[in-house]
This record gives sequence, C-alpha cells and structure tokens, in this order.
Amino acid sequence: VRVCVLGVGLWMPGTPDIVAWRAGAVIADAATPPARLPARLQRRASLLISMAAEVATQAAAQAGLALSDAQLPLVVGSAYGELATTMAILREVESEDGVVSPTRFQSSVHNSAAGYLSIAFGNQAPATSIAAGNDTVAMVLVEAMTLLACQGGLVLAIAADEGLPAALTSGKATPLAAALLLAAPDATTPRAPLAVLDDLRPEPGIAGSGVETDAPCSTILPLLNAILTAAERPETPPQSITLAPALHTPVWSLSVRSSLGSWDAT
Amino acid sequence: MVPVPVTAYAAVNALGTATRDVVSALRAGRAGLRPCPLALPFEAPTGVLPTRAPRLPPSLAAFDSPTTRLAVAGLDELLPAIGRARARHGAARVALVVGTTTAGLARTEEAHRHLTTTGALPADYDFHRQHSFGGLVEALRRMTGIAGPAYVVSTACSASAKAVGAAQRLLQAGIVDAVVVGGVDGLAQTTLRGFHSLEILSPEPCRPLSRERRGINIGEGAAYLLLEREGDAAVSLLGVGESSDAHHMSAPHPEGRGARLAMTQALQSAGRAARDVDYINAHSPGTRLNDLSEGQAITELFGADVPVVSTKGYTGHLLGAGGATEAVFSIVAIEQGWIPASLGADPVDAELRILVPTTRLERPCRYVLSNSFAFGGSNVSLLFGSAA
Repeated sequence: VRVCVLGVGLWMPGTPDIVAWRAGAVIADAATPPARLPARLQRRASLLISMAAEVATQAAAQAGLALSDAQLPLVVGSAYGELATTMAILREVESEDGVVSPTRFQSSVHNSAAGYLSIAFGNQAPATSIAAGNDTVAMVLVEAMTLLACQGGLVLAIAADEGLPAALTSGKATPLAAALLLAAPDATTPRAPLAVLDDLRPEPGIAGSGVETDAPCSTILPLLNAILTAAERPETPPQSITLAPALHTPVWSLSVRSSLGSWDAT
Repeated sequence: MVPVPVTAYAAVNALGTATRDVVSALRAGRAGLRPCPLALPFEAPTGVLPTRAPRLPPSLAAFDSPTTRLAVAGLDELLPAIGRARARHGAARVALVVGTTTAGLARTEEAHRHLTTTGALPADYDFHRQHSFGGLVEALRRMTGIAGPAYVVSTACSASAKAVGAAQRLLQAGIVDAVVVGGVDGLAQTTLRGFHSLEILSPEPCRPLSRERRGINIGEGAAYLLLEREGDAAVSLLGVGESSDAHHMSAPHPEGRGARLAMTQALQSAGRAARDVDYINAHSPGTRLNDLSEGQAITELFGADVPVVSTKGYTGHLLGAGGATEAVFSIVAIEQGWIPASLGADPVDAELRILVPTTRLERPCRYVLSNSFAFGGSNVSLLFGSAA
C-alpha cells in the first residue's frame, strides 16, 4: 500500500512545530498549544484535544486545505488517551460524595479528540480512535493506509499522548502530538505531495514489541524528519524508517521517498 | 465490497459464559440483569456474568485486570478456530482488532484507592500492562500467537463495530488474510457513576423502545468474530457504514443525521436496498433521545414494517463490547431463522413509527442490519447476510 504525504504537524511543549524541532529550538512562550477550536469547545478541551487540533491545523495548512472545508476521515492514535481527565475522575470517585462530573465523563473517552475535531469543523466523515502501546504510530499508519487503499481520497492521521501521571507510574513522557495528512496516489490534491510512504510491514521473525515505552508516539519523529528530507532533497534515496522506541526491538518499518523523479518508477 | 465470511464467533455476557448459553437465553427471552457487584450509592441493575471470569493463566498474570479476564474468557472458545487460521495463513497474516472503552480502568480504580488509603500502589500494579490498551492487546496477542497488525479501537460505545469496519479494510487492502475482531468491556466505577451523573442510568431493568423506559443499564462482556478472506460460513459481513454526527459529544443528532448516513452507506457498500433488510438490531440502549433519533432515521430509510429490536434489555449496554456482541446476535438470527423479542419494550413508545416485536418471531432472515452509536457522534452500521 503506497500513500502520499501532503502535510505534517508537530507540537510539544516548547516545540510549537516541526521547524522548531528540526532546529532544536526551544520556544519559551509555546507552553500550551494555540486555541484552534471554537470557544465553547476550547474551554473544555484537554491538552490531548488541544494538541490534536493544533497539529491537524498545521498539516491541513501545509497541504493547502482548510479543516472546515474538508470532509476528512480521521484516525487518531493515542497509547493512553485522556489521562489527565481520567485521573481527575479517579479523585472524584474517591471524594466524599463520589459524584463524577458529567462533562468530565463524556470527555474522558478515547475518541474525545476525534469527536471534538469532527464537531469543531463540521466533519461528518468517519472518525476512529485507536491504541496499540509501542506500536501505536505503526497502527495509526496501518489504519490510515488501509482506509486510503479501500476508499481513496484523503485521511488525516494523528498520534498524540499527554504526559504520564506520576501517581500511577514512574515513567516519564513529554506530551507530544503529530499529524500526517495523507492521500491515495490517485487523489486530487491542492498541492504536490511532500513524500511517498510505502512498504509498511513488520520486521520478519519478530513478534511483539514489549509494553514498557513511556512515550510511544514519539516514535513518529524520525518519520517526520524523513518526510521533510525527501521533500527538500528529492535526490535522497528511499529511507527506511523503523517505528519503534529506542530501547525496544524494531517491529514495524516503512520506506519514505521523494514524490518526484526517478524513485517514482519503483 | 467483497463479502467477508464469518468463520467463527463467540460471546460471553450476562446471558452466559459460553456462546451456546448466551444464544439459548436470548432465544428464551431471559434477561441477564442482576444487582451491580460494585459498591455504588444508587440502584443500578447490571449485566453481570453468571459466574465470574476466571483468573488469567500464569503466563498472562502480569496483565491482570477485570477487563482482560473477560477478554481472555470470551476468546477461549475461539482458540481452536484461531489456531486453524494461523496454520492456514501464517501468524503474520492474521490481525487482531479489539474494541474497548475501559481496558484496565477498574484495576486502576482499585490501585488508586489503595494509593490513597495506604500511600502506595499495590506491589503488583503495572500501568503499562494492566491499565493501558497496549497491555490488553499484548495479552491477547500472546494468548493467540497472532503476529499481524494488532490494536485496540476505542470510540466509546461504537468501538467493536468500528473494529469490524477496520477488520474488513485490512482484508480488502490485502494486509492480512484473517482477522480476529471483537470487543470487551468490564464494569468500572467511572462508567457507572459517569452515566448516573449524565442522568441516563436506569434504577430498574432497562426498557429500550418502550414508552416506560427510564434509561440504560451497563453490562460486562466480550464477543469476537473470526473474519477470513475465504472460508466455509453460513453468514458473511456484507456491508459497513461509518459516519460522524459532528453535532455533540454525548447527545445524538436530533434527526439521526449521522445514523442515517451510516445505515445508507452500509447498504450501498453491500449493493443492497433498504427493502432487502429483514431485521434491524437497533443501538437503542434505553434513552428517549437515542430512540427518537435512531427511530426517525430508521423510519425514513426503511418505513415502518421492518422488525426493530434492542437486545440491551438482555445484557445491558456492553459499551465497547456492544457492537461485536450484537453482530453475533445478528449472525445467529440469519443462521437459525428467528428474531429475538425486544425485551422490556412492551408497551412500545407510539411516538416511534417503527415495528418492535415484543415476542420472538420465527422467520427466515436473509439480511440483518446492526447499529452502534457512541459519544463523540460516532456511528457504525453493519450489514450481515446469508452466504448462501
């Protein structure tokens, strides 16, 4: 399954976009994501939802699309989901009256970001929300690429996680969200693609990737870098990227190459 | 889309701890609702398994949570069929897609309470293995030996129906040759108290589609289908429709806009017309808002003559396991030729212009549509049909 990348987005605290990340710059006033949602939704949005809205906006802008104009299928991957909201509910359950806030409860579901984005941008296309531990980024790509293979058109894929709660784990993770606006090879697109993704597959002979990575969505960073390298230097040979955390055996890999020139023939 | 044979299926829930028992209770019109085993300051009849799901085997003990126990108990029956699929296609050509909303949440609730009262987490609490969705995936992967794509779909109450859609695409795109697809959810304080706060939890056994309905009951359970590119099966998955309401996080669109879109697309993808459908398994969990919205969408598309049943009165609302469980019920209706009574629906809400059978109907069913809707405005409609 081969797909085109039309746009990318990245947000981490202090790293407001992919340009800042590649430059190694820390932007002090980028402590929270910019508000991208209508006020009534933004007021109740968790960090995960706000980050997802920001990276979606970045990826769409790079592709020359406005989220409010596009009926885009959404794939949102998150290893842990609405963790801060879940922690607040745990404390509510243990409080004297034990009453869980209804607003908090309905925003605690894993598909909150997908739901908020579809509501904010009037997007009636299918939206899904998935998780797969260390393989979360790889499975976001599996889900997005199979959608494109079956239905064509465009898909907005997002991978995002909040930081981990110190009460429940000694693990440390920086909040991170990234987005890829992907298109089927024959889709009509406003701008030329940045790169082509191909050959997503598990490394043969390796089953299972362990479970103990604290920030599995950060495995998308080398992929974003490879996409921009292919866009900037079309002569770069196809790059093989493993979607696995540093301390674990690679499981899923894919190739990234320029959408221009000689590599297209392969 | 190309029809996808359902070569095996299994379900455990309040109706039984084996698929055969579940189906015979459904046929007999017997509810499985019981007092909730969780300590709660309100009445909440709940779909509880007749006997508790067993402990995990030692090889999986590190992944222990109430939901993972249910997931493993429900999948046990399918292990021989999964083994045959693995042998036929190779482990890397078999995928696992599981819908859930809670995963290890109940385990984390217990661990957090321990932390609050003693100052420390339980010694054997493991966030990555027991709380996170990835832990559930890894436990089921180890249990089944599946080496293809493996992930959780978590779109609240449509999760396992969405998982069926994902499974169909994995097959159509040629990524794998077989998919174990299903859903699981256990009981948690968060869900019971959360639905109570939203004022939609019923203090009595739920009465979906009835004018006397007072809300929903929650249930625990797990259900799975084995979908294969080719295989002997009485029933196939024929169509999948998915949409977003783009309206509200917890309330359905009042005219059922997203529901209608999902049902229309399920029919289109199967190349069938509305008049072909013999029976609709409604989402209908027991709230007036859902019934009016779903009812209107059904009337507009199908008229008032197709039997519409909610099975939530038997099992409670199984949340992430609901779509897969009701897929099993839909498959059984086609295989065995009967439509279950819509338990608790009598007297049917006359505001709904749909046909709701309050006793079992013995009749052949060729095509059955099953709806699942969820928070976030997530809608899925699945069409199953006789493979003959």
